[in-house]
Amino acid sequence: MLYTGGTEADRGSGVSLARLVTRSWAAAVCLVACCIAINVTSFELQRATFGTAVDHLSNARAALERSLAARQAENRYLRLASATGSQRYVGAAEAEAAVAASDELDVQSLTAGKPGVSSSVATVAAAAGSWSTWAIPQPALGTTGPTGTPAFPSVAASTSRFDHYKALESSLADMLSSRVNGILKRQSMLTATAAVAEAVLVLLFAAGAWWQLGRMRRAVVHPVDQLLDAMDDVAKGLAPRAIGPGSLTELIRLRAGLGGMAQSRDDALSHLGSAEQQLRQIMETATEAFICTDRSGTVLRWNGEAERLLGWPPEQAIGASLASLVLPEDLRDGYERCLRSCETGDAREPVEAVLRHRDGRDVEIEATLWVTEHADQKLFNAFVHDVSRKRQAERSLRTAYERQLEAADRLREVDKIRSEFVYTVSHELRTPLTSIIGYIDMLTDGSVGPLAEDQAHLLGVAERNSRRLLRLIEDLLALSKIEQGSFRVNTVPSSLNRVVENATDSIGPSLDARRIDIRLELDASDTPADIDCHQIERVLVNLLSNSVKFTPDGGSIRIRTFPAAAGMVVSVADTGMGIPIEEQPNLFTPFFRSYSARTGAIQGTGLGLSIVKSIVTAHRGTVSIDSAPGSGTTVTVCLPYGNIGSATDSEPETRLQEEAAA
Amino acid sequence: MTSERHVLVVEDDPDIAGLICRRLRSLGLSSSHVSTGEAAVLVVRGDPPQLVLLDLLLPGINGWDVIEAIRSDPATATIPVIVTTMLDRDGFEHLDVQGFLVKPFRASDLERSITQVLSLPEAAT
Repeated sequence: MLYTGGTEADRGSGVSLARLVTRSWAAAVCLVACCIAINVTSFELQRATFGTAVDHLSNARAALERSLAARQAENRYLRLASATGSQRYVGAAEAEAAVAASDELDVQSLTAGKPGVSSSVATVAAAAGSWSTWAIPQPALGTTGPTGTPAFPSVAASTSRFDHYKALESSLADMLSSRVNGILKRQSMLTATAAVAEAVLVLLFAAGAWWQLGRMRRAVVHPVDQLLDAMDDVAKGLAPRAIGPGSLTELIRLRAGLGGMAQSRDDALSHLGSAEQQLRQIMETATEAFICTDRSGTVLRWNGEAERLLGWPPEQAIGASLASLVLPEDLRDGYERCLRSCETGDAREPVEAVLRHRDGRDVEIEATLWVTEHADQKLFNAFVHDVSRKRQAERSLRTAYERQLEAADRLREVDKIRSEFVYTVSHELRTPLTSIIGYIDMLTDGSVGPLAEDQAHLLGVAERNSRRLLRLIEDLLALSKIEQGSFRVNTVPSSLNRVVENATDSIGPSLDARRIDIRLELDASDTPADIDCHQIERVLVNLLSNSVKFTPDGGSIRIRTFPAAAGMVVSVADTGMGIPIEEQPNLFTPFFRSYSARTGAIQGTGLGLSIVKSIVTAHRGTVSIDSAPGSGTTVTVCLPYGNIGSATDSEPETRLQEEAAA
Repeated sequence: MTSERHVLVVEDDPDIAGLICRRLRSLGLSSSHVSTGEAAVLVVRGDPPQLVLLDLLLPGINGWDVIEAIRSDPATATIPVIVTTMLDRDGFEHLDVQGFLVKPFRASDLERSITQVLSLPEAAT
């Protein structure tokens, strides 16, 4: 699904909210300015018109009043002149004033602008002029009478004229008053008109505001509502509905953002959907059972392997309580503890348990637990696999191992008994052998008298075999001690040369009937070696005995001692039959006998070299064999110089004990 | 006590005891033989010899106990003792004895040990 926030055209046709507000403000300001201007203009016009009219009327009334006053003065003077016949009451000045007042009245009447008024003023002015024209010559006429008496007809005429004038003037005053009233009425009409205009402007403003509000409503409120609806749609997971064209650009951008959000949401949902599908596939193809429950133990997921393991199909398991399905009563508390430790993150290791199969049998399982959170809910997930066979195999293995251990213990016990037996027997054999050898010695050394040659020969055979038997017993004793771990050497700095000589002497009797050349090449410096003389003599006796046995008559044995970097060396080289290379690694194994020894019926136990190796190792020395069939054998033993301190004595012993234990 | 140097042989095997006594005689030494530890202690206290040839494995009290008895009595503490045994010397280095012969020993070894031990007091005097 693809959501967009509107096309470019939509955006182009849209109105910015800021621009809309700006326009609204501008329109309102214009309207208010127009209203103020119109009001001010109307007011000023009224005021100016009204003032001018009032001024004119006031001036006209003043001129009228002055004209009336002048006429009344003239009339009074005229009445006095008529009564007295004297001209002194009528002057030219008064007449002039009356004329000026009439003129001003004319001007005022002309500027008043109203034809009726002007004609009335003109009539009054004409009457005044007529009266003046008549009245001014009256004093002169008066002087022309016979007795100087006042000319009463003239007065009567004057009065008549004056009254006519007054009547006209009064009519004019009434007209002026009427005019003032008219102006006032006109002013009130103007005021009313201005009020109406204002009302109209206000109405216009209200209409404009209403229109603008409507436009705002259309441009802002409705799209915002639409936007809110679209947001609701997005919140509900639906596609956001469209927003009408021509909306505000801000809303269009919001809609675009909302569309983008919805798109992202849909993408995420799509991704989740594919992930969910992938998860399902993984679950179904997994070789381990997968079970997911909520905190209450209700099963939410249960794959096919779980069905194979526990018998319940997913459609029955999902929604059911895990406890009721597979947890035996006695395991439910443990399950609860397990969930708690899982929640606190303490459960790191797989847990083992026994679950109940649908058919009632127990299934030994091992489960790896972990907690996930979904929609504020904790989910407990477990990979469960059947360890019944593994446990069975382990039990069998353990049983077998325990049997092996018992057998090994028995063997060890038997071996110990054997070693003790060998040790005891060897000791017990020594007792009679001591007597045999001692008495033979006594016979052969002539202590009890001289022997015939034949007797001496026979006794020699007996002694040689006694010595051989003794060496055999010594070897068995040594092997027994090595195996028991009680073999030890007591080393002191000693002459290796002397030990070699003693060993050569010891082997002497076995050479009696042999034609073997023994040569000693002893180191002249005779540097002391740290050795147990008795044990090293046994080493050399064993080596020499081997050489004598495997060297044919006519051969030779060469014994050398010499100093080397690691210590004093003694080598025994013979010209015997040699040892095949493939047999050499086994030469130090107890009871190993070479093929040639066995087939050649050469006597021996196969213990000699293994004892040599043990003794030399206990001295921290080395022993090596260089041999080839037909070219003889050379055994080289290197023994360290200096002192082996008591503190380090234990190490070779320990090594020997370990070897013996092995 | 006789002026002849006398050796007490403590040995439970009569054949070996006879052999040793013959060897001693050939060396010009007188000897007497007992076959138990108890008898050895009694003889040493009653008639102290110049030398004791002592087997370790004895019926009754063993050779170690005999050595202990000889050394604990001031009258006999200085009598030299040579051990003659089938046991190896391992573990017996601490024994307060003047010689140690492992059976079967050569006549020459016996002679050398006895000569060395008995010549020490003579050399001292």
